[in-house]
Amino acid sequence: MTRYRQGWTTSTTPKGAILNATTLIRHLLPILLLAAGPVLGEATGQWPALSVRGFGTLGLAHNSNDQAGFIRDVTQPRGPKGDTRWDLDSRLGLQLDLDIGNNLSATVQGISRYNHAGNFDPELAWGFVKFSPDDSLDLRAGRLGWDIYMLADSRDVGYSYLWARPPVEYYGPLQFSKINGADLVLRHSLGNGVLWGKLFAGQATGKLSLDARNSVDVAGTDLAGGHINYETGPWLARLGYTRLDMEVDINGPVAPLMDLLAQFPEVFEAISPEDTYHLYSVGLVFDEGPLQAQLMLGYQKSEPPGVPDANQGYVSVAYRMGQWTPFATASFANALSSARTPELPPGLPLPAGIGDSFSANTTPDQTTLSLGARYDLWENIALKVQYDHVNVRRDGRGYMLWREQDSGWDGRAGVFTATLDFVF
Amino acid sequence: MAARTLRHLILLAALAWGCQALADDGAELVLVVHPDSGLTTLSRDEAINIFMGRHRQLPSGITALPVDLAPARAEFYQLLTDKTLAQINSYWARLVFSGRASPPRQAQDAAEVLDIVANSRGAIGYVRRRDLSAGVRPLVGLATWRNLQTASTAP
Repeated sequence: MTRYRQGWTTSTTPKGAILNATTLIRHLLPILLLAAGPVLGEATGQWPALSVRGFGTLGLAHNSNDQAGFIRDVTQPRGPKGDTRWDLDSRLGLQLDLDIGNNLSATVQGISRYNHAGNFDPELAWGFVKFSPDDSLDLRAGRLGWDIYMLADSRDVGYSYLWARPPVEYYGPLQFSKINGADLVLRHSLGNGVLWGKLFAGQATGKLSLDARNSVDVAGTDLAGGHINYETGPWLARLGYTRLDMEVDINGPVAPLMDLLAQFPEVFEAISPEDTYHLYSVGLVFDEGPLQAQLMLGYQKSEPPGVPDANQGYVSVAYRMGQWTPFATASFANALSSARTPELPPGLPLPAGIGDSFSANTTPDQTTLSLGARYDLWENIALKVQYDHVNVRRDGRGYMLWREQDSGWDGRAGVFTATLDFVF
Repeated sequence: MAARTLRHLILLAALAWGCQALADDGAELVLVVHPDSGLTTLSRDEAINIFMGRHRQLPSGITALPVDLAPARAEFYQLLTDKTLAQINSYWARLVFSGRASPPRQAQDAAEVLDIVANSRGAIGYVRRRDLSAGVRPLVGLATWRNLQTASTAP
């Protein structure tokens, strides 16, 4: 058998010759950065055609409770449990924007963050072409962030907000962060402000984590939605709706168990998260000089019988004093019905308590009070500290925002976080 | 009646003198546009919509091209939004890294701002009053915004 060698790789195995997006980013970025140097360097007088920007966070998170692991969002397999971890909030992103001309531009963003597999392999967060025929219309197609809630599509950009991390009850359970699809933005000046709206549709991409060994691929989930906004003076109001048809593929030791249960349609239906979800949201922001206040509410209507409807939301207030901006936040997520343990067929080799864990996994019931402060060290670097006091009621202790819970956990956690956030 | 009119006149004169005093050293920032922009004035809310990337359209309907004067950026945004540069940069970080909009073009000195504005119908920038040139139309001196309290950098 003849082995062949491709020009751009030293690998001699066909498998190694497969160029995936990750490898592409890893190999191309240094080259693009080198190429961009001169362009950026001589940017006076000419509109720069290519710009390179980045963002990042170095974070330490400590959970004083040693009976449950605290995570930032459902993509993370492990979190601090009576100890301190640096991986929870640390990440690095790099973005290239290319102005093609004729109202066309292209953007690529790669990000490295603690993921479902427990590593920091970079992934393509954004990669789209944008067409803006005039100042009132933008059309984009490609890989896009999921703009379901205000701030949801920039929740990895720590420098852009005041908190050490966005409220976990609101942003943590989000099923995915990116989609392959298209969106459209329309703007219209109205009164002293701007009325604008967005429509989007596509397929989800990405993987969630069930625990340290099991992950869920959400590719194949179709979604469509939109939001309408009005911005005037210090006010911003937003109404949003997304419909998604969940499709999941479970990987890991629990997968054979799911295959086994799939042979019993009525049982499978009671535990499967696959079906339609309707996500409604309202956001209100007041932001005047040193004062910033936000109120966000969400309602999830779930069609799968085993997944309860749920509410979530937060209110956050901050006031800048010199370089310091102290803030306080209260956030919550709760299911509108209690967890119902599905009846599993007798006589199967099922682990004890598996029925309970299915239902508990999708039933949130918790509240967090957070106090913290941001210190603007420089015009592009901020230091933040935050303390979260989390109270999880009995129904919510098996929820997917927690990892490796001990059975005796009282549902309390105190989380200290310190981060250094920057953009460049 | 006459006394009241006189009082008003004195007040007006004092006000005019005050404005003059502010403008005298020529350091006041002034919004400038192209003479064919179709604009003779601009409200603070309209300036916020354009410079904060909410809607890049001049009230006359032309696509707006905002330009920052880099050395005066902190002062400009303090007047426009009552916010620090760190807050303004945070705001832009959200828009830039979600692909929504790009911040205004950065000019390094007044001559560059004037050059851009004089050569583009939709361009809008700001320079110090003493740096004004004939090729651009001054719109409004920003000292008038100093005591107003409307601003926003909502997401």
